[in-house]
Amino acid sequence: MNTESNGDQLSGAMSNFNPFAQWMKGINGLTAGAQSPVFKEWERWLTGQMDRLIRNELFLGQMSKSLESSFMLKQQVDRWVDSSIKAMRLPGLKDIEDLHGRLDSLERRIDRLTDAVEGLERRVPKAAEPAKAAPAKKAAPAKKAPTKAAPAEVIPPETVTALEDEPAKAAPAKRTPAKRAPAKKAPAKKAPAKKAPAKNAASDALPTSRRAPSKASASKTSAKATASKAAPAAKPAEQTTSPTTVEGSAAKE
Amino acid sequence: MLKIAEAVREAASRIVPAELRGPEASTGRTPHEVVRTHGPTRLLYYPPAGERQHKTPVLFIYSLINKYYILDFMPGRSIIEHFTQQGHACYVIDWGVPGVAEARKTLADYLLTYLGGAIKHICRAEQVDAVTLFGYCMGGMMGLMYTALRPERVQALATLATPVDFEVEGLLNTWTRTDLFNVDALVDAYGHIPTWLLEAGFRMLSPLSNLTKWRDLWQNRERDGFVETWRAMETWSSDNVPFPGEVYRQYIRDCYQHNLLMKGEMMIDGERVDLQRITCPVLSVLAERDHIVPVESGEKIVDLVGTEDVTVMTFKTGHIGLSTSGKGPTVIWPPMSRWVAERSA
Repeated sequence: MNTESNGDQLSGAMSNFNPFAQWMKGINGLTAGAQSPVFKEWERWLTGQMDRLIRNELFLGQMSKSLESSFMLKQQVDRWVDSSIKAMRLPGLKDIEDLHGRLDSLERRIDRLTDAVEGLERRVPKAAEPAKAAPAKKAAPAKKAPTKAAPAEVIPPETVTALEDEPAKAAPAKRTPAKRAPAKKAPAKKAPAKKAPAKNAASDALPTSRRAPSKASASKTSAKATASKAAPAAKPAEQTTSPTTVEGSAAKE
Repeated sequence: MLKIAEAVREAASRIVPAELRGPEASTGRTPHEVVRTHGPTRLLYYPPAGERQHKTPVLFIYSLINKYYILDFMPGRSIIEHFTQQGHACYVIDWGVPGVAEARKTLADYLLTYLGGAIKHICRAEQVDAVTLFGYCMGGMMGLMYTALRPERVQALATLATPVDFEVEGLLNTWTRTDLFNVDALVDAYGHIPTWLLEAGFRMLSPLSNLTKWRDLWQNRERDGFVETWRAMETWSSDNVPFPGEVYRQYIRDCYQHNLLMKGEMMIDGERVDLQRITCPVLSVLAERDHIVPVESGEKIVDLVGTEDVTVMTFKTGHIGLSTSGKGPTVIWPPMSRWVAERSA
């Protein structure tokens, strides 16, 4: 009974006591002080001192030494851990890294093979077309099924990564427009239902070699366009700065 | 006893004011889908908000240090959202978190396998020959390197706050000097560079701001949306990922310590990175108050690339402000998206 009344009194006192209000009062006082010119001057001075310190050769030299010795210590500890793991006949970090390295090289090999197969398909478009028709029909339902499950409808999901072209091999294939044109149609066949037909039409209209015929003239005309376009483009940036925009193009001209 | 506990809890809850409690940080909200995964990386697709108006897709590349969602910061303050609203089809490469499998992955793997694979995927899916690359900070450097190596795959290249000349006076350049920083010892010790070390480094760039940010929060707590933005920024800036070790080794050694990219002597998988091979249009966007990338360093791009269509834009903001500033949707991003649109196929 007595304990309960004490509890009531205390809880009453606690609910009246507002620590936040007290805290606010203190903080407001501090921040009001922080806006005073003295505080601002102190802040400027402190910033300057800090800046000098983090550029100071002696400080940087000491930091460098302590960091390097901590790196050495870490390496030493790692060596101890590694040797004890080896003593227990367990695979260490290096073994796992080696395994990953092997998997990587296998993946690369598969990618190269995939690229090579794709390249072959491009090179024999007409001969492959009747042959393609059959697997295309087979592929279509196979692709529709995962699209229902996965939301990646816009782009068919790939598990096997396409590795970047090997420059020596890819270059001739790319420079021959006659060979590239059917290559574009191939992916169009792959996902006709997924892509909007407008996209396909647009892709047909797209020149196959954009910069190949007259690189210099194309870039020069676009440079002029930039010079003229730079001004309107820079207008909103005028609120900030834009002289460099003009300078940048002008310097090149 | 229960009453006392309840009273204490109530009083404690009042210590944190409602303004500061605010809603949860809402980063990365622009609708998107994952269209490809490879290793730790993911390729995200952001469809145009309305009708698609530009054929060439835009691929955003972010740095390997923090997470990509700074490019999709918050609704109304998102560079990706802005681009999608302008009718661009956008993609973002999320580098993910490197693990044991990435222990030996080099810059060449990241550029030619991950980034190159993503670009190839986009080209195939969109039925285009080339994409527009939009790199931010180190992502811009990766864009530069990739374009120099595979120019036929890039329609136009835009870089945001991207350093090019590492001999320009800057704090990071000083700290990574060969006599002060043994990058090999660090990578050999840790493998991937731990987040605490990266975070400490970036905090040291501007030590006092670690304190003044709290004052700013307090003073602006009643400003509309300030607390939410502040919290989102805190969430992002502390959401670091380890930097892939071998990439870090080459990046620091070749770029910061020997300035090889600028000299045209950097090698990626046996190929020389010659910026003169970049013949597509190039845009460099720089921030005047950038404490990480000095404007002078980024401006050098004009003399290095092999195209005459080079545009440099500078804005009165900071390094991160380029992608999160309140002025973004009205001042900073419109000229960028116009530039990209004008150079789309």
